[in-house]
Amino acid sequence: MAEATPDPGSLLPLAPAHLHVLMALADGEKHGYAIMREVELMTEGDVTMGPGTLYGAIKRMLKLGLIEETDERPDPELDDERRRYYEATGLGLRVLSAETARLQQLVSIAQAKQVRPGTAFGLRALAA
Amino acid sequence: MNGHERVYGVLISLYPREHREEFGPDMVQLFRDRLRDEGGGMRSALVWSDIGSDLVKTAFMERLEMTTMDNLKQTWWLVTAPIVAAAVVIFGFGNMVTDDGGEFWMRALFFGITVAFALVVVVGLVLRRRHKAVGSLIIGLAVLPGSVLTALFWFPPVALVGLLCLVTAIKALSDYAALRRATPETVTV
Repeated sequence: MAEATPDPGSLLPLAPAHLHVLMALADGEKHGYAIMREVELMTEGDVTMGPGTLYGAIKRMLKLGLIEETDERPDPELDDERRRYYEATGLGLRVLSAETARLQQLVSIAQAKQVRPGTAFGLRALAA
Repeated sequence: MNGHERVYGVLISLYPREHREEFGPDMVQLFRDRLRDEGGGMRSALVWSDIGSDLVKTAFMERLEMTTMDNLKQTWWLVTAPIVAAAVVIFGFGNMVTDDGGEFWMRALFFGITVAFALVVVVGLVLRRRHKAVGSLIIGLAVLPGSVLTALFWFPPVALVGLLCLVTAIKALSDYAALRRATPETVTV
């Protein structure tokens, strides 16, 4: 009997490291260093994942079924065979979608309450 | 493999063995990639500073995660074994330096026996990392004589150490028996 797929909502909110890794894998499989680089690029250098943080997140995400190891190599000629590549699973992509929707909703609330930088609240927060 | 990688390779032994076996080579590879792209001269120090703080934080978290209540219930005696070994050595030292009327060489001999006892416990703990059954047997046999303290001394702290020796020995020897039943071919004493 096939195992029941968990409800994406039950895995929210995502840990920041999990969110970053899933976002990095949203457009295709990558190996560990490529994931780390992509996260750095996406966050404009604000988030640098060390080997411990990255592989700790990968271990938990493999267990949750959010990502899986893949045998495919984008270009075997250019790459080291020993590297392990990971890709987001269907569940992983659904969870990513649900999490970004949740964050978007939060941002909308922040906008409505004018608590973002550049608004009156933001200026008061800066002055405080 | 250069010097930096060798040092990092040694440092990842701070992670639990399961984690190391699964991801150790990948972590070293990632460290190698970072050092290649960001290292060189003083910049290597920056890479090390990043990697060092990541290592300390995540190795601790991984170890904490491995220490579940179930694990603690099964392996608490691995914690009490070095505690009773240290307590018996302290007791032996105290007995040696306190002039209670007995011959000094007898007290020194007793102290030597307690140190030897503690060393055997340490050997058992180290061995158990690779050979669980043999390690448990050595710890059990080394700790067991300490339980005599319970019978000889009614001074509560010493009797308590003796009692702890007894329960630790029982638990270690039953662990040995369980491991031997599970994998008889791996036990070679």
